[in-house]
Amino acid sequence: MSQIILLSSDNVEMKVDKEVAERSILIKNMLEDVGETPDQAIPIPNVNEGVLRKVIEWCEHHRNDPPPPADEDSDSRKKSTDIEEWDQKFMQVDQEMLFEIILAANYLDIKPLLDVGCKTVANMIKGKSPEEIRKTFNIQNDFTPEEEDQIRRENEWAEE
Amino acid sequence: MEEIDFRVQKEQSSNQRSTLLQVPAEVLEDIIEYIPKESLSPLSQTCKIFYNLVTPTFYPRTLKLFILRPEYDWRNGHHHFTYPAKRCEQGYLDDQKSEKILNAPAGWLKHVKEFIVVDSAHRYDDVCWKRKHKGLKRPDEVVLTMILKRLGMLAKGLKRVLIPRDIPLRMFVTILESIPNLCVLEAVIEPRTFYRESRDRLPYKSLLTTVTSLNLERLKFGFSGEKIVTGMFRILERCCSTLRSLEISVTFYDKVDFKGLENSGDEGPDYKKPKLKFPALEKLKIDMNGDGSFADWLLHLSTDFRKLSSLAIHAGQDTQEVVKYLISNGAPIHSLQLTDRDFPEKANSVNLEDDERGVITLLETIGHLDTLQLWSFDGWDLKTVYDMHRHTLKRLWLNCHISHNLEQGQTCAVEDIIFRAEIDRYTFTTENWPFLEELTMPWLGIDKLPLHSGLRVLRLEHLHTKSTPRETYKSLLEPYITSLLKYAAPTKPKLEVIVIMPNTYNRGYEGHDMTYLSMDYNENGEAVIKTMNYMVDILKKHKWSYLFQEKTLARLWDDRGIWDLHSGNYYEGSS
Repeated sequence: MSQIILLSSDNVEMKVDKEVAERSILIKNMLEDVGETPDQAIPIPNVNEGVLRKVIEWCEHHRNDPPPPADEDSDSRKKSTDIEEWDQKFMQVDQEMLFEIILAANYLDIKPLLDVGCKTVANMIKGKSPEEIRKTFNIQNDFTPEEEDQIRRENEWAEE
Repeated sequence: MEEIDFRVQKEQSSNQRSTLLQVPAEVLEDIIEYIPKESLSPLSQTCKIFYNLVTPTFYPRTLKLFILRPEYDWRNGHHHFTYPAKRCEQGYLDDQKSEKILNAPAGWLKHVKEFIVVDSAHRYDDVCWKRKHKGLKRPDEVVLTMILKRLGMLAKGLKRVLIPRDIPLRMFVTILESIPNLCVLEAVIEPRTFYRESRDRLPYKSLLTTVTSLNLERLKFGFSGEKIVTGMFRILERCCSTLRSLEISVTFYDKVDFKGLENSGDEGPDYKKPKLKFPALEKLKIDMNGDGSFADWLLHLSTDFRKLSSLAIHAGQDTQEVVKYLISNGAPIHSLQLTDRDFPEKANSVNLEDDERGVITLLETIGHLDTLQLWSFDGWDLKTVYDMHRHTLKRLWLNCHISHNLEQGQTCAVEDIIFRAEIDRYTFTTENWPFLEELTMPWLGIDKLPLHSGLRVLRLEHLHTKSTPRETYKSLLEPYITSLLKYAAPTKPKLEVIVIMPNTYNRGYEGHDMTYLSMDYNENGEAVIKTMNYMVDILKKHKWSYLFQEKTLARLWDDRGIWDLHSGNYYEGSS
């Protein structure tokens, strides 16, 4: 099986099965453009070693997944936030790593991994009060009390 | 109530410490998609970035306001309400909803893109001059005007206003002037208000003098009486360069001298009407009583039809001049609907009159037609049409409204001349009509029904002459389905929908809606309902769709962008 070398932003080389690396649409397209398996390392300038290892770990585990069904037009609001067990464990990392993985998945164009990341964050937001959400994500309240009051009233309107 | 501007650039936000907020906006949007509706409100209250991202997803984009009225259920034959429904009943605005819109906080309204008044019983496309009911009651009119003004002020993105309902001229002008980014407008100006109400005079004067351009892309409106023609022309002047679709429904009470209108006193004696240019216009529908002189006048004052591909003219007579003018001015027409509103008296005439010969000649000059609707073609020689266009036509509508008036023993010109002769030559088979997808024809019995494997929609006019007992129709549907399955075997025929329409033409607007079927068929009401129910059962048994309700129908045709003369296609995209 052919292997390729990825180069992280902090200049660490990693050998990966081509099939695994091709879970990333970005890398897949890049390899298709080149035509043959390159000898040199492919630089991934936006992702550091730790995150890249994590991403590769996910790709290894999901190397044989079938492509996701393309039903884009379904009501997005009904999307399930269910996450399979292995992915749940995989995502048990600190917040910084979680968002690094999400950003890397977005950059490398690995839709299923991005989805798992987004679901994880959505689950952290679900059912919380505004104050709890702020605390969880270290968000600063940048509303004036008047603005807060107005938004509350607007939202009451929407909930009917 | 002032709107606070929350538009904060992300870079300027003080929220630098949150790793979540460092994620690009498109990823945040992905995350928001996974959050259940009830958790969106708390999220929007956390900070400005989330407020701006979340509220567009759960504040309304479409506002609907219902006009309430009793409904009639034709299948069960009873009213949902305890008191009898009158077809012409005015209806009343939904108070609660109106109040909610008027009192809603500014921010809640700012994402509204579309405002629709829904009137379940009112048919937009129906002949406005035949309507007996008046528009909205005065208090409702005031409320609706206030709502429109409020939306104009707060909902900067409001693009579509659909009011399938008579509104006074003053409200129509309010809509034009107070909603800055309006793209789509549908409304009917209440017949005769202009003549009655001095309240309309001032808005009308302003209409004549305003010159700012309107960015309408789609305008569908109705008006009546020659007194406001000039004002309506001014509206077209202001929006003709952006219009992609124009539908006008117009009524005149007397014979109008349009030439004399060209320099009416309203603009002063020296005023010369400019030529209207329609460089973006793709669809044009003009619907009028009497002859085609209004359309003739309007279009001769117009030019530049480079994109006009779909044309529907619905008038009593003399419509082919209009089509000729458009074609000679470069309109690339491939969809043509020429229909006739007035009931023709010459049911038994089989002689081709010059009039009709003219239309045939006209059809010969069009190179490529994919949609054709002809109505009232008593005596037309369709051979030419079939010869020229059957290899390209996708939709063919042959409407006929003659035979049901015949007495026992009389023969029907349409049935005998057109169908017996021409359909026999060009039977609606896949070989003869390779692209045919939709066909509307009178129900002429099983031997004339199309055996076509590509046909998707078949509409049958429920044509019944006094000489044909109703029972024959119901006994024909099942054998037809059987033979169609056999014809298309081993594959399944593409036919998805059979529409059976009542024969409606000599009745008022209410006749276009099956809802009122049993009310209209006085003596035979019950028999018709029985027949319909029987057909429903057969179609259900074969897992076929059936559509009797015009509303459902409208949606079906709208998807394909067709103009439906019977149904109110104001449902388009807004259901």
